[in-house]
This record gives sequence, C-alpha cells and structure tokens, in this order.
Amino acid sequence: MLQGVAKGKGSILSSPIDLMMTILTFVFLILAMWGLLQVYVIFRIVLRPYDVGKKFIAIKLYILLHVVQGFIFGFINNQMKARGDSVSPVVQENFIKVEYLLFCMEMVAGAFLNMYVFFQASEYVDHDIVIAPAGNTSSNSKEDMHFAPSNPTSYSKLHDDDIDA
Amino acid sequence: MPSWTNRLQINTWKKHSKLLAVLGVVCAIVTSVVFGLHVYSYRRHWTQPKTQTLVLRVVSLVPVWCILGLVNIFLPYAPYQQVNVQDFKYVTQIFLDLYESFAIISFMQLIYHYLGGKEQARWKAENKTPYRILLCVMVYPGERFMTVRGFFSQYFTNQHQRVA
Repeated sequence: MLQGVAKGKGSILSSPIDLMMTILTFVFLILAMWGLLQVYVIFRIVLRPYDVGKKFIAIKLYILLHVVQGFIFGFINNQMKARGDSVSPVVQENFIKVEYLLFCMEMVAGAFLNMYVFFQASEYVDHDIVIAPAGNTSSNSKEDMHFAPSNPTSYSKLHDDDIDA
Repeated sequence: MPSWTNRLQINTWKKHSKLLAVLGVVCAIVTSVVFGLHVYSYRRHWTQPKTQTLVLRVVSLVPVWCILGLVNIFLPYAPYQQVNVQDFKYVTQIFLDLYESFAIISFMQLIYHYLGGKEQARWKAENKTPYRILLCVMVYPGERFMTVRGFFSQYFTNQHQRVA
C-alpha cells in the first residue's frame, strides 16, 4: 500500500483494477498476519520455550525494512519526476543500485541476527528427551521426538499451566 | 541535452557505479558465508531433523533475498532498454514476495510442528476459551478459526503464485 502511494500517478497502480487487486492483496496479507498472531496468542504458553515471538519479529523486521525502504525510494523518485527534473537513465539506474545495496546490507545484518540472536543451533544441543511424540502417537522415529528445554521441570510446568488454561 | 548539474550527477554516479556493484557482491558473499556457517552449525547438531529443516527454510529467506537484491544491482534495467526502470523492479519483486510467502508458510509449519502437528493444535485450540480483541471482535479458537485463518493464508500464497 505504501509503495502504491509512493509511486502515485502514472505507476502500475494507475488502473482501477490494479489498484483494487493491490488493495485486496494487502487486506488478505494483513488478515493472514492477524491470523498468525492470533495462533501465537492462543498457544503462547505452549510456545514460550521456543521463543517463537522473537523469531517471528525477526522475519517481519526484514520484510518491514524492505517495504519501508521501497516506500522511501519510491517517494523520492516520484518527487524528482514531479519537479520535472530530466533524470538521466544513468542516475535512475544507480538510484536503484543504491536502494538494493542498502537492501543487501540489511540482509548481512539479518544473517548475523539469525545466527546469534534468533535461530541458534545451541537450542538443539544437550537437551534431554522427555516427551515422545506430542502429536502422532503411532510413530517412534527420532524425527518425531520432542526435546525439552534445559529445565524439564519448568517445561512440564508450562504444559500443565496450558492444560489448566 | 542535460544541464550541467545533471552532467555532474551522471559523472558522479558513473564513478561510483562499480563501487556499488562491488559492495553488493561483498554483501552477498558475507551473507552466504554466514548462512553457510549457520547451516554447518545446525548440521553439526542435527538432533531434530524435521524442526531444523523448517528453521533452515525460514532462515534461508535472508541469503535468497540478498542474491535477488544483487541481481537488481547488476541488472537494474540495462538488458531491458525498452522497459521502464520501475517495471523490471516488479519482476524481481514477484520473486521476493514469493520467497517471503514460502518463508512465512514454513514458519507456520514450524509452529504446528512445535505444537505436535495440525490435529494436535486443533484439539488444543478447541479447549481454549473464546476471547475478545479490540473490544469488539470475539475470537473462538477451534475448528472454525483454524479454517478461516488457513483460507486467508492460502489465498495470500495463491495470489502471488497467480501473478508469477
């Protein structure tokens, strides 16, 4: 939506059908995100040991940065056109290069963020197996085993709280 | 004929064009190496293959986006002289959005996996009490809610696939 506003007249959104489709897409996107948030709200106690909230925020942070950046650059580009400046193709080309260079830099930061903050391999080390399959009781494969956090007492307590709720 | 300010801009941009491309390549390499180390650290502790595969699918969003960004740096529109600069951006934008959808769906699968599977999640949701959000919308966790949420997620994904 922000990108559509930034691009303004003469953009791909100039046709009413395109505009309507874009609005519909974003409405469904927002509803999907809302649904995901509600699933998290409903299961927050069970999901607490897995830090799902942090992981979700990390992913949405990259997406938000991308959208905001697209809005800012689209807005500047539109302003240059509106002023009637004869922007040469070289300048325009490099304008896009700067935009996507910033995008690549954000991804570098994101890669480090994923590695050290949100998705650590250490989550899967030295944990005791306390529960066999939570969902599928018929399978005994290693893949289906659930590993508890380092403190099994607190883990089982969380599950008990959830059942009480 | 461009004005002297535009000519100055053009010269400045031409001068820095290669630098931008080099920086882009460096960023892509660093991201790929960090992602490779991340995968390696997971492979060293491959204790929960299903969970870790889903996590790696979500995390792979970063290098894939970085590489698509690099494609845009190298091909802003040069091979498409007849096409408006902004139009080519939409082509790569579709792939960016597609991968975003894939990562979000993988994340959803990860949540289901943490909960012990879809059926288990549904069963757990059935036992939750309804609650109100924003003072007006009542949410009834359970079968109906899961179906509606699934419909919207499905529509969102199909929308991007249809455009592609």
